[in-house]
Amino acid sequence: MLLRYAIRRLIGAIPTLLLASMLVFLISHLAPGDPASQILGSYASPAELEQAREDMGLNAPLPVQYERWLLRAATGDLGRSINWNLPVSEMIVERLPRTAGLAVLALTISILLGVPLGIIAGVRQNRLSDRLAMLVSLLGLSVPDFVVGLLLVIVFTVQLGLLPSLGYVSFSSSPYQWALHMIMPAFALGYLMTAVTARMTRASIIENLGQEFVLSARAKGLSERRVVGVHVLKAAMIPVVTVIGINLGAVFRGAVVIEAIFAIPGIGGLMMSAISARDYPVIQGCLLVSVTIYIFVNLAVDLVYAVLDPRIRYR
Amino acid sequence: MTEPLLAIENLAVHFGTGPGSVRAVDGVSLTLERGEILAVVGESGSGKSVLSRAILRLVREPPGRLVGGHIRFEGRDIAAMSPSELRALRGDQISMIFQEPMASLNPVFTIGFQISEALRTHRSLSRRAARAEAIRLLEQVGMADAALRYDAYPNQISGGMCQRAMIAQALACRPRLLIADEPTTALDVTIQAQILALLRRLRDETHMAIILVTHNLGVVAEMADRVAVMYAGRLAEVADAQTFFAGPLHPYSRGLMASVPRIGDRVATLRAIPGVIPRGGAAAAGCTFRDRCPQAMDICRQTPPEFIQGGSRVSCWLHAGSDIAAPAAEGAAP
Repeated sequence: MLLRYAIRRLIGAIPTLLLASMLVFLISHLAPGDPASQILGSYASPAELEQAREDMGLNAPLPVQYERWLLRAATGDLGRSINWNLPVSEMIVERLPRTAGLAVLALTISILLGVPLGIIAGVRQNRLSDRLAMLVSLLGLSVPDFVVGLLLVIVFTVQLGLLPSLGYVSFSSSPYQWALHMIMPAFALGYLMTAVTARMTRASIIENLGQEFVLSARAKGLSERRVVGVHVLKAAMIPVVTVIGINLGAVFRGAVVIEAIFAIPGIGGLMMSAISARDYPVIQGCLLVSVTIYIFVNLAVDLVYAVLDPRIRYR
Repeated sequence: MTEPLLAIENLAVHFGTGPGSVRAVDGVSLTLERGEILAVVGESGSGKSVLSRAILRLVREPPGRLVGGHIRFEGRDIAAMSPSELRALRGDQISMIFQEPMASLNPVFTIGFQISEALRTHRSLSRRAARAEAIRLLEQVGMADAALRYDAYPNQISGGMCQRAMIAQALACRPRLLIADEPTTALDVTIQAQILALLRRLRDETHMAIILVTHNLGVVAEMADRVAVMYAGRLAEVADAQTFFAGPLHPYSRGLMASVPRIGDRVATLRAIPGVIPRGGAAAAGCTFRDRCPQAMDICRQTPPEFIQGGSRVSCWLHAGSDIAAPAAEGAAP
């Protein structure tokens, strides 16, 4: 049942992916500027420019260009970077694990902190612990992530000298050093998501605590711990999973700034440099990869949904 | 005479504090024998649901507050129990079913899981043994394809089936008392009859007592051994069912009876009791029903009526000193 649903959703994702790829393709082709003159410089002769355009396939009609680009992208060939003269796919493959590690760590922090915080606040509604938790999360919503990042650097690097503020060590060479370098950026990135997750969890817990099934669970003789921890929690997690899925989209956005602050050579940092250099193949490649990941993450979220909520599969 | 299964003594449950507090249950005393079906009747806001929940201490505190009284179940006072004693009691010796069967089952767990959970909470059963027992219970309450339904989610079965599943869950540990809070109100009429027949059959088979909370006098007539009429948090009248239907004593009970439409009556409008139920606390002095009572007297404004013992108990000044043992003499028609 679940497998069939998964396959159906997977097929359903194909049009979304095509549309997204079309948009990514058009962004660079609708942007002003001629790649040929950008590569050859302003002193190139018209004949040389024409030759370069012909070589790059830029004279073909746009749909034909899109088709070629898409077929190449499907085989993993995202073209060459204009600025660095390297295959874009190689550049992305090298950097993606760093960003993915950062994203997963940030998301993990947000779930491990946000969900329990939301549960405590929801169960102890309007008491001191609820007020404190909501104050912390309000700060998370209102302070931008780069400010959090800078504050962390000031406290833990400048004042306490505990954590390195810059650079990256790969997980495979030293997991400890990796964690040491990643903890501050991941926290800066995860703080906003923690706040959003905590608020959604709280609201959902409060809503479900008011449901009839809570009364009948208590009437069954279940402990309050089991009523909240099993019955309310599973029902309450459904909207929280959505928020976590949306958060993962926000991670890629946030990573652009956070990777720049902490000098992590990831996709975010690459995208930032590519945009300043107008390196369209790289921008395209990064966008295509992020969009694809986002679509698949949302697909995964929908599947988790179906596991959590038996009402969904039958729609 | 042996002690009753349940003896409620002067129970009071209030909501809120200070002058704005509501006396949802205001000095109720009731007894229930083993195997007896007692119907608690009253309109919305009469406190019948709060009373039924208070027996299992399921009224949330705050905003609710158990102000006083005792709830003796087989001699032990539920009102004085610790949380762990309450948990051991709930779902084991006393079970409860509710008005909305669909909402009373958790939508994200299978009905089998929820029934097994009740079993495993109170009995040390293996997963497999609990499953087998849950399927047996589902069969006992008349669920077709019980083994298949075990893995169904509440949304996959009808409301009537959900109520059967709720009853199966309530019966899991063979309770001596089942509290049913409007168990058929949300179901359509044919299903209502089936569920009521099921409850009566289960009472006959297991000899458990049932407190049936309802506003439907038809249900009462069909089910109850005894009737308790509640009004504004107090008991207006307690009588055995035959006596009650032969001739209710309290003006409020008569009003309730008169407001049931009968086939053959050619009336343009339904007979309703004029006015609304007072917010608890406002009518602390005197009789709570006096403002809506067609037979109110001066004394009704001053002193709350006392119960007059006899075959029935009625809290009304009209019956002060009268011969309660012969209620038919009061006249059946209001």
